[in-house]
Amino acid sequence: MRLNAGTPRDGIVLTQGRLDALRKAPSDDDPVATAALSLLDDPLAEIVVEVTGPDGRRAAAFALGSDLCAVILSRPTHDPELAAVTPESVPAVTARTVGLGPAPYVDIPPLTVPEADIDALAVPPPQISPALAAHPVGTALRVGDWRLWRLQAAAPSDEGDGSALGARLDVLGARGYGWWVLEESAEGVLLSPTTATALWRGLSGVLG
Amino acid sequence: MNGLVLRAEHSLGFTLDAPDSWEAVHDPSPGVALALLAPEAAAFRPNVVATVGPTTAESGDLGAWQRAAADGLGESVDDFQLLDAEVDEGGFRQLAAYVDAHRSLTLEQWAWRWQRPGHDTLDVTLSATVPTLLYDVMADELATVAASWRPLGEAK
Repeated sequence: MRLNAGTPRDGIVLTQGRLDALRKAPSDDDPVATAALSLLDDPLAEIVVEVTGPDGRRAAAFALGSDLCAVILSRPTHDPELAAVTPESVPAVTARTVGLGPAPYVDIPPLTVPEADIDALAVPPPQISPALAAHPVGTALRVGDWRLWRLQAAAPSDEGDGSALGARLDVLGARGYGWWVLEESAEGVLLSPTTATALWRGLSGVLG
Repeated sequence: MNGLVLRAEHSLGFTLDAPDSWEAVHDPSPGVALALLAPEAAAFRPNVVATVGPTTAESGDLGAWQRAAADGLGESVDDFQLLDAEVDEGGFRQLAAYVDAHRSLTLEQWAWRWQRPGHDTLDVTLSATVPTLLYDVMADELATVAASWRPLGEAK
């Protein structure tokens, strides 16, 4: 395994039982793989992004260290893959996983929908509720290569009491159609238009 | 001067402003008119580079110009990802990530056609480059530097 800047390459395909086997008997002659496996058990911080789209579900789970980050990438019809990237590569790997790309800013007021409307997108086969279909995001959902992504980051707090610091970013949209940040509210889930630039700032700021 | 106190004036007839802690380098390489370098951060000097040259066929169509610029970057750097792009009547802005020398970098570009009174029209591109993990904290400052560009005589 090698330490990548940017796109993870030369990872280890995690066929059934492979990760457990590697943990029990890490290779003596692959220090990068050994460091990556160690980080899975004892990371400085963890970031997980789960993505749903018309072609299924994918995910990236990062275990961060100071100089190396282990990432397990999951995608439809493939076995998961363990790879090692530099910590500053996390935003770029995340952006590729979620399909972040140029889209117009859809300048209309936020929309609130029941949480069930969003959940219905996350479970295959995705169902588009009437409220979402009537909103501009509905166009992205009908004809775009849409993505619903949920990112969670967690790290132990400096208090040393076992508590954790966390960040969360939920997004729905599609390259070429628009991006909306999702926030829970008392009435449901609020969809607020945003830009790919603002989302990239959020991703770079998670570790920055 | 938007709080920017370093004013770099270029012989082509424009100025760019930057914070006092930055350094201006004139004509650092062929085709590059001006480079403004921030102090080193994360073993890298974030920078804003001004490229000024004759108009091209692409720049007559701003959308085509933006796409050509992105395609050119995609062929010249590693792991290029176009993250955002917007075109308006004045020019285009695009945001991208790429890898150089094992560093993950973020590039933000602004480009427009510059009609110089009494002279030919030129294409201007400002390219801001920063380590990706510093982009969120530096984005506003980089955009302020880019927005300070003025034709000589119009500088405030």
